[in-house]
Amino acid sequence: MTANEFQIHLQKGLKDGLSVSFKLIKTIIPFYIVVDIINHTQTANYIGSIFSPIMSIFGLTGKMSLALISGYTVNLYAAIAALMPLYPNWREVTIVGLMSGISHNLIIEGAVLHKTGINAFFTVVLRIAVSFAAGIILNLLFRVVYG
Amino acid sequence: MDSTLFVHAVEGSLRLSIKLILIIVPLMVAYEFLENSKIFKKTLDFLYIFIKPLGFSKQASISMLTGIFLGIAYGSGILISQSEQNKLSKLDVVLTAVFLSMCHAVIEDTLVFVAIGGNGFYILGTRIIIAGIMTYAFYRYFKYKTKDNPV
Repeated sequence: MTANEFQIHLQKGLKDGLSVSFKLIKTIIPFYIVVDIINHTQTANYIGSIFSPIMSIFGLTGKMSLALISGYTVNLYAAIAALMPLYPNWREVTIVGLMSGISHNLIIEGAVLHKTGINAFFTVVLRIAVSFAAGIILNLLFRVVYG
Repeated sequence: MDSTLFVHAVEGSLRLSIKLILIIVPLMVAYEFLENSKIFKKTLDFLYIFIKPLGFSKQASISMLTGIFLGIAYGSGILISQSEQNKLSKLDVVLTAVFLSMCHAVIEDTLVFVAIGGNGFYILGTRIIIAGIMTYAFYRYFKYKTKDNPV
């Protein structure tokens, strides 16, 4: 690799890193603030108790439903921003990471895939179903391996 | 509303943002170098061995691998242009869409969750395995269907 190539890759890497960071901050700051504030109100307990039976099959707390919903409709950064004020442990971070990794930004990405001639409704339903299945499987695996 | 609550929230969001920038920028620089190295191209050739049994053609695997690593926007960009040029069979398009809809931009996605304390091995491994199983299921289904009723 020549010095010139090195410089080009270094610049592109920095540019990509900063552009990802910028996208991330734009989403994280508003979501984090909203979720952190909700979290200190009675509403959080209400949301938590409604979703707690469903979320327990993924090994998550009821309040973490906010992170999954943010991820499904917006993107991964929104999921992270909504998750962090809840002080998750590494297992919860991993499960939310897997579930929202499979299924995120459904509205926009559904539209992109639609252009290839694939039904958007089909991919959305498929991704949500697979993400639920993945969450259940990984939670079971964690219970077997780590107790 | 209590103003200390708001200050606390803003402070937390800024702290998280700074932490993520400090982790993500160096990782993306490292990835940029890796992506342009000879090892990366060899890795792609190696990965094709695993993709082949799922029913993809060599042509489709190019957009697949692009999508897996770089994200659906790049991957489907190539995919859309290839499907418009009729370079891909209908089966290729369906299988690529199924796989990529569940498994794309895995490097970036995994890194951001590792940055906040997740286990990257479980996130990446489970995601690839599940997407592979689903794609294979679709491949078998469509192969069976087109045998009776050729497209």
